[in-house]
Amino acid sequence: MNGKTVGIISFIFIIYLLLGAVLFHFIESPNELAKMEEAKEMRVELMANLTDMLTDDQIETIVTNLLKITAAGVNFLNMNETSPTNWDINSAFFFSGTVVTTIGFGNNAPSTQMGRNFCIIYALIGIPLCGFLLTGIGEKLGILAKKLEAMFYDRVTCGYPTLLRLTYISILLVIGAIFFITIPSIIFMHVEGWKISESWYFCFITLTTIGFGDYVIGQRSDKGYTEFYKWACYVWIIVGMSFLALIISLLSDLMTDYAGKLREEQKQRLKQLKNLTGKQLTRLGSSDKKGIKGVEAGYHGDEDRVEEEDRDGNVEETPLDAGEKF
Amino acid sequence: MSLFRKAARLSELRKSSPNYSAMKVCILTVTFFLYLLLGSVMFHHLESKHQEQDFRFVIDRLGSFYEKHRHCIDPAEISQIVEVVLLACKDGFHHLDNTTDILNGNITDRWDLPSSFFFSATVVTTIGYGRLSPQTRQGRNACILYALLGIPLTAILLKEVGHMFKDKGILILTKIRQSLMKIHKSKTFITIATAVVGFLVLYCILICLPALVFSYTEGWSYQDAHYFCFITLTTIGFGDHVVGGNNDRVIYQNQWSKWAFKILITLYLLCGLSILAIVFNALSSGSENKFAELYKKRKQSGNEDVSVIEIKEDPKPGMIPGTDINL
Repeated sequence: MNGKTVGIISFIFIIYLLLGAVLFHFIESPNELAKMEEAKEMRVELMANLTDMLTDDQIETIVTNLLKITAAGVNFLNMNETSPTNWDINSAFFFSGTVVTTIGFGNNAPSTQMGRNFCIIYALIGIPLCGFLLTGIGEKLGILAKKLEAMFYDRVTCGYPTLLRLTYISILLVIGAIFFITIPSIIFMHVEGWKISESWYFCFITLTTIGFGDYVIGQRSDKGYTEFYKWACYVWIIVGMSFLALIISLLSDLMTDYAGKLREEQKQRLKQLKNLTGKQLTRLGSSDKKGIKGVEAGYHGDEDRVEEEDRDGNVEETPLDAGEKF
Repeated sequence: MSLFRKAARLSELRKSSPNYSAMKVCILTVTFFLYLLLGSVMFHHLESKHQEQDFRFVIDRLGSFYEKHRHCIDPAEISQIVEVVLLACKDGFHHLDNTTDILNGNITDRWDLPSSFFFSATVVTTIGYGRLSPQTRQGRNACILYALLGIPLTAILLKEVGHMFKDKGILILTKIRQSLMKIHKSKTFITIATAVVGFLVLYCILICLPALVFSYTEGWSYQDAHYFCFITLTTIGFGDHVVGGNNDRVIYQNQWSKWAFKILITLYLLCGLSILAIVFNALSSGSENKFAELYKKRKQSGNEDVSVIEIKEDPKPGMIPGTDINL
C-alpha cells in the first residue's frame, strides 16, 4: 500500500483509459458520422419539399423547440391527453430510485431550480441510506457465496490457488449472469419490446449503476405495465446491484492478493540475496543491518516490522499470507 | 460503570450478532421504501407542473403555427418534420447544446479521441452521463467488456489511494477535533461539530470551488455548475449538464486544448472520488479503534453476563463487507 503501488496502478489505469479512447473512437465514430450525413440529407430533402411553404427560420424554430422539449424528457410522438407525464407519482418514485442508487438514467431530470436543489439534499441523505441497505443485502449474499466457496474447494483442488479463486469467481459470475441478467433480459424483451442484445445491454448498464439512459424500462405509454412487473424490477435492481458489487469486490480482492503474492516472491529473493552476504554484514556493524531491514520493511509498507526478522530467513506471518490460505 | 454505559455496550454487542442483522435488513428495507415514497411525492410536486407547462407550450406553438399557415401546409407535413426531429433525438442529437450546428450541416465528430477518452472515464467510474452512448452492437459489447475489467480496476485504484492517504485524513480530522475542543469540551458537541466542519470543508473543496471553474469554462450559471459537480461526484450522472457539451466554446475548438481539458476533467473525477474514498477509509478505521477499545474494556471489567461474541466490525455505510471498497 505504498506510493509505488499506487503509482503503478495509476499508470495502468491511464493506459486503460487511453485504450478505451482508441477503442470507442474506432468503433463508434464512423457510425456517428454516417448518421450525421444521413441527417444532413434528410434536412436537404425536407427543405426541398417545404421551401415554398416554410422559411428556413421557421423550420429552425420548430426544430429547436422540439429538440429542447425532447431534451427535457417529453416523449413527443406518443403524446396525447392520457399519456403519463414524466413526473406522476409512479415516475417520480422511479426517479427517486435512480437518484439514491446513483444509476441516474437522465431520461428524467429535474428542470426547475428548486427541484435540483432538493435533488442534491435528497441524494446526500439517500445515497448513504441506500448504501446501508445494499451493505446489508451484500452481507447476506456474501455469506451464501462463502458457503458455496467452501463447497467448491471441497471438490476441486489445484496447485494454483489464485487460478482456483478465479475459477470460483467465474462460476459465481455465470450463475449470477443467468439470474440477474439473462432471465430479466428475456422478460424485458417481451415486456418492453427490445431485442435480446438491447435488453442484455440495459441490464448490465443498469446494475453497474452506469445508467446511460438510452434504454429505460417503463417508458412506453402504449404498454400497460402490471404492478407486479414494476415491483419485480425494483427488487431486481437492488439485489442485482448488491450481487454485482460482490463480484467486483471479489475480483479486486483477487487482483490485490495476487499483487501481494508477487511482492512476497520478490521479498523472498531479496532475503536470499541478504543471506549470501550476511557474513560480510556482521562485520560492518549494526547500522548497515538496519538499512537492509529497512529496505525489507519497505516491502511490507510498514516501518514497524523491522524487529521481526528471523535469522534463518523464515517467512513471518503477514496480512498478505492470509489471502493464500486457500 | 453506569447503567447507561452497560446498556449502550450491550446494544453494541447485540448489533453484531447474526440474528439482529436480519432484522436490521428488514428495517432498512422499510425505511428505504418510505424514503423513496417521500422522494416521489416531493419530485412530483416540484416538477410536474413545469413539465406540463413545457408540454402546453409546444402544443400551443405548433397549434398557432399551423393556424397561421393552414392554407399552405397540411398537418401531415408538420408530422413529417416532427418525426425527423424525433429520429434525430433517438440518435442523441438533442444533447447538443447548440442545434444550429446541425441545421447548418456542420458535422463535428462526437466520438473523437478526447471525447472517447472522457467517455471511457465515465464508464469505469460508473457515472455514465448518457450524452454519448454506444449505438453500434460492437460498441455496446465492447462497452460491457470494458466496464467488467475497468470498474474493478478503478475500485482497486481508489482503495489503494484511500489506504495511502488514510493517515493524513485521520490527521486532518484530529486537527479539526482539537481546534473544536478549544471552544467547548462536551463530547457530543465535539463529535457533531467535527462531522459538520469536516463535511463543509470537504463540500467546498470538492464541489463549490470546482463549480466556480466550470461556470467560467462552460459559461454556465453557478447554480448549474454546482448541480453538475454534485451529480457527477456522486456518480449519479444524469447527463442533462455535461462539461464539454458545447462545441462552440473556444477551449474546444483546438484539438490540443480539447485534450487538455478532457484530461483535466477526468482528473477532477478521479481526485474527487479518491478524496471520498480517503474519507471513508479514515472514518472506518476510526470505528475499528472504537470497537477494539470496547472489547478491551469488556475484558478488563470482567463482564461475564455476556457470552463471548466476536465483535464484527459494523460495515461503514456504502462499504462492501470485508473490504474497503466504497460502493
